[in-house]
Parts: sequence; structure tokens; C-alpha cells
Amino acid sequence: MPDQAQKTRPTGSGPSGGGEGPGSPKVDKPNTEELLKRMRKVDPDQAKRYRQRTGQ
Amino acid sequence: MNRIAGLETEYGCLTNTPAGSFIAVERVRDWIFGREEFGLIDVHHRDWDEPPGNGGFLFNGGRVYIDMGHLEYCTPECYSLLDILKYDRAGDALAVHALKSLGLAGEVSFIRNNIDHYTGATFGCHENYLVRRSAPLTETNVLSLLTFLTLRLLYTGAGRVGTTLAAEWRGEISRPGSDGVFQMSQRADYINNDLYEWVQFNRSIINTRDEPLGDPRKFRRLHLLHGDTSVLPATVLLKVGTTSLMLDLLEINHLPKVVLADAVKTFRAMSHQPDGPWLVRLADGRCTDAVELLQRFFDAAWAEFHGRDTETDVLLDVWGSTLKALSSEPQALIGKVDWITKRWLLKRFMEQEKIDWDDPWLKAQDLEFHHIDPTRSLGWAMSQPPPAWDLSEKTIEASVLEPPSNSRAHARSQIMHLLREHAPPYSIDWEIIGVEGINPLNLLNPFDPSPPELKTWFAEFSAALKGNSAMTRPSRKESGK
Repeated sequence: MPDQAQKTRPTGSGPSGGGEGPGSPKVDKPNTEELLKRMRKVDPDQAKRYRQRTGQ
Repeated sequence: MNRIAGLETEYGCLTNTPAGSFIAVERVRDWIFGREEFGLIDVHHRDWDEPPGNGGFLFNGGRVYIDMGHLEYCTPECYSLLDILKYDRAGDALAVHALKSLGLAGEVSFIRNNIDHYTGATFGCHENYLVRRSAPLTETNVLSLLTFLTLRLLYTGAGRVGTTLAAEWRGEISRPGSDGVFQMSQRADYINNDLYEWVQFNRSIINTRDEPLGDPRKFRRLHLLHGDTSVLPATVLLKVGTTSLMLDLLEINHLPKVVLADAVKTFRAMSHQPDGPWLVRLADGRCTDAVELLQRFFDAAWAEFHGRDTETDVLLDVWGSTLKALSSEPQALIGKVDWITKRWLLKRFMEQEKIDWDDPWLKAQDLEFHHIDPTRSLGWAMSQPPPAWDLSEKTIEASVLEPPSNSRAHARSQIMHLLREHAPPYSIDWEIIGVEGINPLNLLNPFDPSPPELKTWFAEFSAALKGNSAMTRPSRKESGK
């Protein structure tokens, strides 16, 4: 079990430092036509039946 | 991940009749434990509201029980991010199995969300993180952690339709508020305090209950209840992974010193501003951009931990790209961040149906986003996880039965299999197992899958079995189970 965080010095700086780092994620718009059709079949009042007790 | 972590999920239950959920929840609980295939039911009182039969531990190391009318599932002690995801999904899979086997799938649904849109009720997804007792909990460190836990809302919120008029003091009943809005967090309306010990009233961003469920000289447990129940894998792992990284920084006293003027006010206000601007006031009076502050936490984590291991590098990569997208191109986070995905999908639906945010149909769709059945969940249908976080159905199914191999859950599961075969009077808890007639086994190190005391305990158990036939019941084969 490690007692302390295993520290390894960075090989590059973070994005705000201008060095190597992640770029923005690829934008890949989902095809939602089928999903929108499925959504039309959802009972518009189902949230009214969703009566929950408060939990933690 | 440099620590043990776990999630507790209180499921909502949707039935054809409002009263049906109480019966359904009990039937599901009884199905899970009835054949002792998935776990062992508690045969002792755990607390005043947890009598024998209320729930039990699972062979996968987790727990299922009924808490305030909700079916609740706890993951086992997880020592990797992927295990968090696997075992979180295992809870959903188990409940779906139960409903299908009981023939209830057509009339009962479990929903992994946190609100009832019509009554103001809320229920949680609690996060648990082991923290080393040596962590320097100075005032500045705690307030800086509070800042991070507040601002992470930008990429961890599950989103919701409508608002709830928040409780202003302990015991006040919340009431539904305005319908005509979309906000980023399900829980923000219910968070009243920055630091407090209770879990039902006066909910806080940091719950101060210090119950380590391990050696109290070495460990504490950070217990969080302000976060939403996440749906998309990327949101689950960003939530747990980045919080764990902040605790890594805290433990080495390198957490950036960033203190908000009013964390609770900031948390609530940001939730109501999905289009920004996410300007927040600091304790020194300056106003600054929340994403820039998060970037400071990110930079500190990158500087300390990039290159530590593959899991950390993937997490840093996803986190960094998420922060960039939040500033410049939030739509790049569709399929990755819950609230952005939900809002985008609901807007498409509103355009198609020519309805506004106050239409009840959107509340229905909001629930559908959180459905636990992957064939129904709108969230699952939109999911585009980073490749490293894309789990197969087979992996999730295996996690319903098998514990993690690298944490205390493994030891507990081994013992539970033994108890299933021999059924002596037992009591099982996270850090201790008791069997009548022999010494209790303490499992005080959550990191250890094979504690040294286990061998001695097995020998004692075996000797007791030989000396006391009353400890042995007919095997499952002999009894025809």
C-alpha cells in the first residue's frame, strides 16, 4: 500500500503553460433522429407518477 | 488512483402507481438475496433503521439495502477508476436483472437521478474517498478543497429541468419552484452549508462525518453528498478521478490556495447559469472565471502527477480537454458531460415538438435520461466515452459477481462464499467479520486483498467447523438449492 502519493515530475507543462497537453475533444455530433423518435413515445406524464421520498 | 474510493447510489423507483415503489423495492431486494447467488442478507442489526433482512453485502464486495424507501447500492472498495465505473454499472445491471427475472420490467423502472420534480424530494449519490490521516487539513487547504468541490459542478452536473425552492434551514421542507428553466445540477438547490455533519438536513458540500471504515489511526473518509448521480462514463470518472487527484495534492500539501467568498452561494448560482458567465467571487474580493480557477487545480495536478501511470495520464488528458471545451466549445462535450448532453438533447426535442422548458414532457424525458436499463436510457444512447473508459457489457456483467482483485473487497468476498456454504451465525461489515465461536476478523486496511490475519482466521474457522457440527448446515447441493 502506498503511504504517500507516488510523485513523478512532469514531462511537460499543462495546457495553460503552453507546452504539451490535451487539446479540445473531437466534436462528433450524434445522430439523434432515432432517439428523438423514441422520445416521442415517452409518457408525457411519467414524472408525475415518480413520487419519491427524500433520502440522504 | 492513489486511494480507495466508492460510490453509494440511491435509486428512484418509477411504477405505474405511486405506492407501487415500496413493494417493488422490497421484491427486488428479496430477489437479490433470496437465492444467495449475489450476496448474503444481514442477520443482525446494523443500526436502528437497518434491522436484519434490510439488506446485505454482495459477493462483488458491494452492498444493497433499503434506505429511507430507496433501493441503495454501494460499490465495493475500488482502487482504480475503471473499477469505479465497472462496479457502479454493476449495481444498475443487478437491478435490471432483478426486474426482468421478477417479470416487473414493464411496470417498474429504476432511475439513477436525485430529484422528484413534483415534490421537492431529493436523494443522493454519495462519494467516498479514503484520505490518509497525515493529510494536512489546515483551514486554507480545506477551503481550497471546498472551492474545487464547488467549481467541479461545471463538468460533473447531471442537469435538470426546473428548480426546487431550497431549504433555508434544518428541517424546512423544500418545495418545487420555477419550471421554465434548465439548471446544471440536480443537488445544488438542496445544499445549504459548506461543512456539516448531517446527511439529510442542512446538507453541505463537505460532509464532515469522519467514519474511516478502516484503521482510524491511518485513514479518514471524505464523504461527499453534494454531487449528482452521474450517467455518462466520462462524467462518472471525471467526478471521481479529479476529486481523487485533488486529494493527492492535499496529501502532499500542494493544493492551490484558492478560496471562494461564499462556496454555497457560488454553487447554487452557477447551477442556474448554464450559459454562463461563470464568474465567481473570491475571498479576497476579486471576481474571476471559474474555468480559469479549475485550470489552476488542473495545472497543479499535471505538474505533480503527469507521467505517474497510464490511468492518471488518461484522466489528465480528458480533464484538460474538458476544461478547454468548457471555455470555447461546450458542444464538444456532448456524450461526455451529463448536463451539456441532456440540455442539447432536450433542446432538439423542444424544437421538434415546439414546446418550452415548462412543458411536463421535458420532466418525463429528464427521467428517461437517467433510466438504468441501457436499452432505455437516453443518456446511454448519447454516450461517447473516451476509448480508455469504454467498458463492454461482458465486463460489467462479470462485475456483478466478482469483487475487485486488489482491495479488501476481495477478502470479504472470499469469506462470504465460505459463510454461504456453512452458514454459522455471522455478522458482516466493511471492516470486520464476526462468526459465532471464533475471534472476529478485522479488515482494517482497505488496500489489502489478502491480509495476513486471513490465514489464521480460516484455520480457526475450519477447526470450529470440525468441533461444532451446529455451525454447518447442509451444503447448497444437499439442500437442493
